[in-house]
Amino acid sequence: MSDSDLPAVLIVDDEPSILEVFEHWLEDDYEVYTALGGEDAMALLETEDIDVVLLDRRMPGFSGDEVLKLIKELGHECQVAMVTAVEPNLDIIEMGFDAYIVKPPTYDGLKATIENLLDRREYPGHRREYWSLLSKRFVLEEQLTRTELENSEEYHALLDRIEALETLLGQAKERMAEDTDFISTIRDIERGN
Amino acid sequence: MSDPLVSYRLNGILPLDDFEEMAASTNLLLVGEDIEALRALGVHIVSVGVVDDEGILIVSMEDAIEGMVDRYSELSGDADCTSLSLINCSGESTVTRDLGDDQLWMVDSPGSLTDLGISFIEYEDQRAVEFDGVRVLFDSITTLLAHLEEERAFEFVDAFLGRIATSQMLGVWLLDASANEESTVRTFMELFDEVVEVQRVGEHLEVRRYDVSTPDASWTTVGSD
Repeated sequence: MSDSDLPAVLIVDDEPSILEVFEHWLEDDYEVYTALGGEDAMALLETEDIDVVLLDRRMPGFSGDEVLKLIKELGHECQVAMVTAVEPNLDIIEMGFDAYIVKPPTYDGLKATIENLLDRREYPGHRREYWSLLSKRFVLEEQLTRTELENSEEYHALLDRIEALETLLGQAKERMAEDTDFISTIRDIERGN
Repeated sequence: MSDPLVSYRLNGILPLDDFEEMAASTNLLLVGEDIEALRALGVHIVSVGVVDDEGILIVSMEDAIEGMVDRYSELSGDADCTSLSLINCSGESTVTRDLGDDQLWMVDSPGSLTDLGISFIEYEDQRAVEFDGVRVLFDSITTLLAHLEEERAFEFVDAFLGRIATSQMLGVWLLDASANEESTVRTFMELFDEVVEVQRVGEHLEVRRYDVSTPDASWTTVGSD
């Protein structure tokens, strides 16, 4: 997190008007950084402690996919939401992003996605992978027909991995609720409530 | 953790009836007037889990942590400490061993309960899943009481015991009876599934199971470790 104590959000898009709109929407609640392309984005990730990146997938030159790959290779600890007008396809399973936003997003949708990603930072490891795969599953199920899904090996592999993680995490959803309860109980004790 | 665990083997460390193994989700309190004796026994109990592919987590609030790590590594045969993780709440970096990021959590004071709780959950996410069970050693309730009002310490321990039980771990907790009022010690003893009293006699440690119906049961000598 940055010095201001607000979560830091980096918006990457080659279209200045998009940056302006997003910045205007988000500036009251987050410390907002903007980049017109992949190179600027990577430079900001080096110098600033960024929590969430909103990454345009289609950009001239350095594409969103390439930026994402580099973020993962360099081990930056940020959450990445891919923003695109292009309908997602099966290739998204292989990509390491944490959420998918279809353009044009609504104000509420964008805020909800960012908040969801910020919550996820608290749960590293398997739980993070679980959430990330779940959101991919929902995107695919929305975008592809039933036949396409049934014929897709990648989709079945995704379902298998989700199931394996659910077993591993032991009823993941219940467990997440338990974690939240445990921490709030302890926080109340610490605060003397 | 994968399959539900049935029990944690104790390999005869506690020569008492019904202590050959402890059921998963058990919280055991070691209580006595010699904190070093409690630590020695506590580390021994958690160290033997390594041969059964269990993970070991030491939550320490004391400078004693370095010595405990050495002793763990000696007793468990895990020279590189690969099965060990630490939550160091002593507020000082007193661990000189080279442990990975997923093995060491620093909490700035024993009173930072929320940070301690989050560290514990992170340990469960990042490490506990690799093992066939986890033994947690908590050193100590006495230090917790030095930093918190009794009622808060009680509530915290109660919440933590529940978490250890839900996660099917084995909890081993230490309480120095010489540093706390007898009424406080008795209050905390009530929270635990099992309470073992520990005393040092010369070179040896002696133990007995605390049972309210036989408060003056005889002591048993612990074999040389």
